[in-house]
Amino acid sequence: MSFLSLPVWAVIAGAFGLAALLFALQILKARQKLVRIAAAGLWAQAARVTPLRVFRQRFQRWLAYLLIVAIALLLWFAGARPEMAPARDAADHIFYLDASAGLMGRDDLAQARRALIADARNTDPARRRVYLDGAVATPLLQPGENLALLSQRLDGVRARPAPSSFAEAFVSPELDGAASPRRPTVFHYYGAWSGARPVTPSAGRRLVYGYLAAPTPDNRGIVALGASPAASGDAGRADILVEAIGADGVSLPADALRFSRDGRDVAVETLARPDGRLVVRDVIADGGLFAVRLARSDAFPADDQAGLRLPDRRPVRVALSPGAPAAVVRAVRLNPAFTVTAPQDAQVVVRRGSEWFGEGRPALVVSQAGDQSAFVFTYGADEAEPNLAGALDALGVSAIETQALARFTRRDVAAETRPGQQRGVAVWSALFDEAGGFPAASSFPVFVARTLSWLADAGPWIPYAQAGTDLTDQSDLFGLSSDRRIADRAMKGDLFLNQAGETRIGDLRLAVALTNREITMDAARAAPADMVVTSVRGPAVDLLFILLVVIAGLLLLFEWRLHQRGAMA
Amino acid sequence: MLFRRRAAVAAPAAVAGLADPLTFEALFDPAFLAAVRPFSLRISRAQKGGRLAEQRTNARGQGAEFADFKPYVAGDDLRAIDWNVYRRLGRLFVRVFEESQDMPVYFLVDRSRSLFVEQPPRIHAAQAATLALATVALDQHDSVGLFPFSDTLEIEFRAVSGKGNLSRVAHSLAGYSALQGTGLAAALSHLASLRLRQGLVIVVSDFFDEAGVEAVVRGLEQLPHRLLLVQIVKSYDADPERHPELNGDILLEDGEQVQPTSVTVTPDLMARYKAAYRRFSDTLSDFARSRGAGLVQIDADRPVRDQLSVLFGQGGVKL
Repeated sequence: MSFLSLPVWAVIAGAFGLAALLFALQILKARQKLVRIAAAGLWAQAARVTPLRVFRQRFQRWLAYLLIVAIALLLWFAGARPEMAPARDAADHIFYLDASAGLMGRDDLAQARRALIADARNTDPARRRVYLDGAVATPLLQPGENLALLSQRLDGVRARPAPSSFAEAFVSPELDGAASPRRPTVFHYYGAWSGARPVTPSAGRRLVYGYLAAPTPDNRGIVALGASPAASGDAGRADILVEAIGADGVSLPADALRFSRDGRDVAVETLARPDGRLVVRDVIADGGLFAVRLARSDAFPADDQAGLRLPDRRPVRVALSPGAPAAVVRAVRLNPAFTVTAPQDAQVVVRRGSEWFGEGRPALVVSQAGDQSAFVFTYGADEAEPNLAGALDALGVSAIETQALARFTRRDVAAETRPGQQRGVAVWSALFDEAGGFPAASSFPVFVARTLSWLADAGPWIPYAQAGTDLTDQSDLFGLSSDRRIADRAMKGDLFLNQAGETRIGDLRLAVALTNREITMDAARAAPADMVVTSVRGPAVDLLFILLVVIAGLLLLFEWRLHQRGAMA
Repeated sequence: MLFRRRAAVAAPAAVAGLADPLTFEALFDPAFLAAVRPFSLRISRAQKGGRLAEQRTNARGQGAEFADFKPYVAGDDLRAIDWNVYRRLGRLFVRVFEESQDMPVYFLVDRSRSLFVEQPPRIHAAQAATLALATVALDQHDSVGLFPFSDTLEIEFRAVSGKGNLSRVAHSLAGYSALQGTGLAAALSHLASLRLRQGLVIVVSDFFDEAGVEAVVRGLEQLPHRLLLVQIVKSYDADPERHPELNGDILLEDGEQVQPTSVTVTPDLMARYKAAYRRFSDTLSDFARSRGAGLVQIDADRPVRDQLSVLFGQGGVKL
């Protein structure tokens, strides 16, 4: 037998302490209230017939003391949460609760939880481990730990809208390393059958299913949601692709869906493609939240709705100084992604180095070729230094053009970075000389667009954000430089989107959707015939705890009854 | 013996929280006195030897009630000769009359601490009842004696008479602060030894004597007087469930015992107490019945005047 969080010796010591404390309390008699009454003599006479309960005379009532001690000890042991050790087992048992999207239907998680506790209760505590599904399998119960801890730790567990990662976890160091090479290991799986389907145990390992989520035969779900630049050519708008399917995999019509912008339902025109997918055209790309949901939800809610944070493609306001190079002015005016404004309204200015124009704003400065490099990037104090090696490439200036510019200026064309108050790009004026050929190059408008976008810190183009995948940034495809926040995370290999819902990368807000065709279709199907639930189940409730509390309660009632009848003080 | 005699008990320490007696102003209430004045208190026959008053006696002499004839002897009042008898018998007889005299009323008032420990204290009812009965006695020209007692009997005054002494009685009663324990049996023995003129002894007490109620009865039997026992009670004496604090583990104190009594109130103990109180009450009432004494219970929580009105009923009490 073991006890929750207290070693056996502490429980026994506590029991003796309780008995001693009750003994002392009996000796030290509770404070009596003083009642003044003229007939005290008659009471004393009556009390002489009934034994007075004073001092040691209390202990003439050993049975009363033993009753109180029994009640206290029963409650003490119950509070210590004893656990009877089941028979020793030759195998190790690893329990895995796959609380991914597959368990979001009905009360699947609660049933899986009960099955898990019941099975674990019937397993040798020294040979069991319990893990929770996640990007990394999280240990819930280590060998030797009391089962009551598992129940507590499971209290806060909710199924997360994400694909199962059991297959990855099964071969991960956490689970694979936990299995002893000298003993057989039994993996107990509690989740949706589709999560365990790809897993094939190796020799000495056995996979059994403790609980498999019940199918939702009429399940329908949203399986695709993404944005692309509007086919109409409007730079400030995007086309949204939506696909929702039924249990048979057939796409649902538009009237089965409801759309909303920033939480408010909106009516949209949809265009059905030949493959059944729906396109919502010319949605204003202002960084808002575009959500779609099923008009009629079903018993598997994980895929009934999806959201997408739209790219922010509102035009960048640019102020052009009188001395701005004509090539730059032309490239700005022709690009619908920019609007020319007065310097006080501008996000970005273009000026010569000698001009006093739009001070305090990020600027593309055309400077004389002095001692400084051809391209000088100034970055803000609160951001990381730009990757210099890729900076020119990111701005659309290829190595070939760099060499051509070097020949024209007869100087080395190099780039350097400097910290500053805000972003800025300083470029030799010679590079904008029509004779140099660069203004006439096809890369020049790209250079201007990306430079000004970088200066304005325009948002990235995230076409979609799907749970269980890495984040995709298509800014480069659509005339933008890669977002610095995403680039930073990408450098750390940390772009994995763990689950559906709102999330952030730095100050960049993202809406992640489940949109997983396999999950939607598998949720509608029953488990294959070869996947059968095998339980090693004991009682799902702590019978020993309940038994102790019930006995203590009965003894308490018995004592109260004795007290009422005057048989016991 | 109902109560166990306490052996070699030291004088109890001063008990805090004892109530004060009624002040003279509170006690000497004209409305209260006017209400009790119409009452009368009679005994069947007082001992002769007193002043002329309203109580019947064995004395022969002046009076309104004819008693007997006796042969005339020299010195008899000639106005008392019955000439009709002389004409018939030829001998002189004189008529003798029953002489009405005063009745000595002796008040034994309990000043033990048990009358002071509760709220309201029993001493208030004891003071009021004593003053009421003294008022009745003085109004009918009887004499009043005050003998307060605690462990021992004190003789405050043996006999005063006349309505003018009522305020003196009230002043004395107003000074009745708590003394010590209850020694009623001893006080009765002391009173019997005083060989006072026979009259009416009124005992105002809770009768909770440590010597036991049997000793009290024995003491009462020694007295050659008519008796009126005024028992000051509370409703929870007989019915302890009415006391809100008589439950659980408690210490009981009457102000007279050296150590409070520690008890745990259980139904069993409650039943035993009730039985003890019933024996106590029965002993007192059996004695009163057999002796022809009066026994009246005054509830200390109710107005004394109302209770006395019930006692005197048609206007008088004859013992």
